[in-house]
Amino acid sequence: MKRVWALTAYIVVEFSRSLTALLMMTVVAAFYLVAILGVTGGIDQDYFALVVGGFFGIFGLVLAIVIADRAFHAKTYLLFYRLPSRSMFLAAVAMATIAVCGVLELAVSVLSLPRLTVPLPTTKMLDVIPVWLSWLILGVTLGLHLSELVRRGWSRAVAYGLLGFIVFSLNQQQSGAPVGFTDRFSWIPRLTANPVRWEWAVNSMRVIIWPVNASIQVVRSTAYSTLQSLSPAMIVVISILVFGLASSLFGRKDLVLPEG
Amino acid sequence: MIHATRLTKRYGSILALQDLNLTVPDGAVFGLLGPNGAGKTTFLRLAVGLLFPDSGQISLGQCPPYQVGYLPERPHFPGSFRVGEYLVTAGRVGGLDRYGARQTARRALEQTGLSLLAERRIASCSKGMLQRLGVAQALLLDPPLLLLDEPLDGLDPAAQAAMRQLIQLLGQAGRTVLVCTHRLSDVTQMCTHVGILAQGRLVRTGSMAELTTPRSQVSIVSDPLPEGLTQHLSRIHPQLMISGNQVILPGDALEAKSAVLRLLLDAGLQIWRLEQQKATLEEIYLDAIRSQPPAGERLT
Repeated sequence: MKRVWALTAYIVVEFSRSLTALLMMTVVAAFYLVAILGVTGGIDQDYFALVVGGFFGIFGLVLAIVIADRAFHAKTYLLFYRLPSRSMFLAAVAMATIAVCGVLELAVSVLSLPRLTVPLPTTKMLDVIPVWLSWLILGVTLGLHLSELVRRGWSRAVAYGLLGFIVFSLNQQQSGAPVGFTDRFSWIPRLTANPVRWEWAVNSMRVIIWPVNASIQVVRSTAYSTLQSLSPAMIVVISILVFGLASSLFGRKDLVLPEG
Repeated sequence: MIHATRLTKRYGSILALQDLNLTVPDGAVFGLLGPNGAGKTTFLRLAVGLLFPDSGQISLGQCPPYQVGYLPERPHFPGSFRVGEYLVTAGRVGGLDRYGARQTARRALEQTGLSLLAERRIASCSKGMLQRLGVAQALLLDPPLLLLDEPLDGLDPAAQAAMRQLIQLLGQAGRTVLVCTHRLSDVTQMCTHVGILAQGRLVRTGSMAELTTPRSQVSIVSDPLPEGLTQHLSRIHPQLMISGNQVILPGDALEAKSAVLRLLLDAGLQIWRLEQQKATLEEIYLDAIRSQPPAGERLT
């Protein structure tokens, strides 16, 4: 673990001294100006929880791609070969991304608090923080799959396709259309004329989308069930599985890193 | 220490290594020679686990790949870091605590003559400095095995001499050092063993003593030869060669050695040197490379 912390610190420092870091901070500043300061009359609790958390979930995904692609360079050779396991390297990339995003998210949150029309109670804060963190972790682990560092064969195309599908499904859910999960994925079993059992695919989609949907319910100012309160933990479990997949793809990849 | 068995690696249609069997003995300073594209860099990358073989195996004995010292052909570093700061980071990633990493970084800087540059930003270092920094990071954890790809590239003559001496000292201290290079003179000076790669195959290997065995050739160096004597000498044996004040007796011409010496002495010439010549590494290398089919045939 000592090696992973050292590598994480290196990645954070190396990134923070780059122009890319400045660009990323500009994006966050623009978000704050437009989405927080730009809203006339202040922001309500739901808006704060969903918009800030959602933005940093997506920002985490983008930043993971950026940091992982920075790591995909010949200067990495000399640190990479010192690690007993390749997963350590990927863990350091993920942790560095979470650390950078976490600091920025904290800064934006603190700066946004005075803009709230109704102050956020501590109990609500305890609901929001785990959900935000789970979204960030999911965004970062998905982002790894979209980077050149982890890509192997068609894996990145598959990851983009899956991500697009999830975003599409979530968008459909949030639009308020009264369609159940079973109906939403009912087309999957009809993919082939033959009686192929596609139930696993339907169930997989439910497993991925339900926790994200439930966590949105948790951070809104509405009642939520005990099962829904577990959704951040479920998202973290899904993230661990997504990370495990990234790790296995990266673990057997030939590393010929560009020098440019 | 290093043992490769039937090691094969392809990059798409290009065969980089083909059924390579190579053993680097413990404590050897092993020079791995070969033309560009022979597979030297691929071999090192396979050894440190950056690449995976398509077939075959490579073992580093008791030393896991993360404990070797590795210098790639063109080492790259984060330009925003300082030289000392980078070495401390590399030591910590290598498993040392902060204090241990500082100590080892200081030692590696001293070994490579970079002590005065510890606070210098890497972005402002010259190519030679970066090369020395590459060697410094390879030496950091006092590794039992060093894999150095072109370690003398970009160094000025004084730094080259210092680096050769350092590599020799490492070998004398019991480290196993594998050096990939094009520079035959460096290999002659610092290596105890040599392997020659050509088109992904090992075409010659052995200790320097084994490879550079004395040849059946004698050269006699004397005072300048008068023209009449030159003609007389060339009639003694058809293989006999004369170059300036040197008479060379290769192969069967050796039987004429006594006659040649008598003739030179009778002509009142001083004999300065008489030596049995050894095959040079250059001759061995060129012989090994020329015996290979053209590179195009490797495309499969």
